[in-house]
Amino acid sequence: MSEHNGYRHKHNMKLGGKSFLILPIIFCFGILLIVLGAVSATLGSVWSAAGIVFSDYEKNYSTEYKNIFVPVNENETVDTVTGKDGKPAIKSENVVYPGYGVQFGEISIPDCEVKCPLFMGDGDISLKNGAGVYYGSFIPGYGGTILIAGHNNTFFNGLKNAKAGQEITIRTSYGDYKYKIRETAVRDSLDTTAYDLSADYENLVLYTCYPFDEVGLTNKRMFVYADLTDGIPVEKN
Amino acid sequence: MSKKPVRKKVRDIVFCVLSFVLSLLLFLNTVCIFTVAFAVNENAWIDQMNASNYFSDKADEIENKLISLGSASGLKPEFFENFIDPIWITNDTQAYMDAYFHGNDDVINHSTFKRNFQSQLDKYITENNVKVDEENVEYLVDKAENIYSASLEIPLFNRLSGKINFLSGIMPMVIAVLTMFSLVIVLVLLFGNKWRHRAFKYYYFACAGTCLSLFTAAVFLTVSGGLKNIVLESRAIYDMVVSFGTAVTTAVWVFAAFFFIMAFVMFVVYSRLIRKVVSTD
Repeated sequence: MSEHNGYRHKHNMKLGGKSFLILPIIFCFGILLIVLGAVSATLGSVWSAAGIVFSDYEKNYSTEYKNIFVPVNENETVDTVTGKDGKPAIKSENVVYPGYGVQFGEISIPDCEVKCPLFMGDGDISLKNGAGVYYGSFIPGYGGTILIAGHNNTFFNGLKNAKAGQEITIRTSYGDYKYKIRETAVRDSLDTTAYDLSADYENLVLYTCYPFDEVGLTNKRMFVYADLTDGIPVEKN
Repeated sequence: MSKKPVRKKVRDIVFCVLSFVLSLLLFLNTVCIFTVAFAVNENAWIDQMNASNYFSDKADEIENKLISLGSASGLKPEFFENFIDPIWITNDTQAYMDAYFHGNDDVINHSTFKRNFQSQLDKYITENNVKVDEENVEYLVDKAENIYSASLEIPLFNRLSGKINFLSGIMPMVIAVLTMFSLVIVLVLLFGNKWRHRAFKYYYFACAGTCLSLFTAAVFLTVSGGLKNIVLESRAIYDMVVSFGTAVTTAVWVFAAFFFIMAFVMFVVYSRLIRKVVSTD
């Protein structure tokens, strides 16, 4: 026993009491609470920024693409129903609507020697491997404007020979669609009157950079306009 | 109840509060050291870029973008094969980072790229006798330059540069002040306790508290996957950022382990001292 200012103090040899475990835990909670409290003023904006910058999954950087295109054979028939206008329509549940970057068909213009895979979306991977449907437009069978882009030095180089009256075929897993070229035109890339995405009839617009076979870049685009001549529409729900 | 136990209790509470403050200061100092070692340290950024193969990945990315541009402007993919030299990217990125970390003009220098692209293009046009329009060629060169510059930019860096400059300016002072306060508390605990073992008990509490806080942070960073789910357009930047996140997470684990060892040492010293005191009682 030790004596200190007349007070006899007894030291306890008991090591590692409860306080040795509880106090560090309390300290930990205290520190985290203080830190969170201090940054809480900016935490809201940090969380909302994090919501934009982070997703639930790891981003896929693969340059591989998904292909859902299975051509319909000549002798094969697709399931149809009678539409509201009394004409046959493809059952909507038989159509797999393609996601962005997915190959869902094939486009060909025999007179221009154009034949390439058709993708949903006109991103780099799509245009490197074929032609791409602008994501804000329609796909065949849906009765709207189908806006398709391709590179003038690769898959759409043949558009330089496009003329009115030529036939364009788009093959999909739910049927083939044929269009006849109405006209071609060279327009500015920012010309919003070059196509009408709100059209209530099925029409096809192909476009590519212009001029062809020349080194250089311009704001000019060559547009090919075509109207539907054959193909079963997809049932409207 | 006697007067002495009350005074003892008050003293214990005061020293406990002091050891909590010490624990908080140690935690904050660790966070400041992380900030200086990683976020506002240009060399740490460059190290992570080297570790994640950033420069050659970036060269591949730019090459792919230029091939797409070439597909729209009459240049075959072969034109761009091995065209981008990772050394240009290394030098231009270094200059770009220097500018940010020193608060200077942040414009990316693309003169080396432009000079090489222009000369390669002129050679290609002459050798292949291709039809050209000067204006269109100029537009193509401008577009290629834009692709190069935009690819070298690091997202949000221009917004963060002000904060980076501010933090790098004040951090050494903040660390010095926190260290000074920590030392004062260490001395108060040491000289405020007649029995030295008590001082080491409070040091143990402080180190163990800091260790647990850092451990919690490390577990959170590890379980949440660090920065793996960040959405970035560029694969090269993504790899660099993930590598950065992994380095920070590892550092938090290392510091948690350091404070664990410190807490253990303090406990051992405390137990030896108390044994000595008890044996002399």
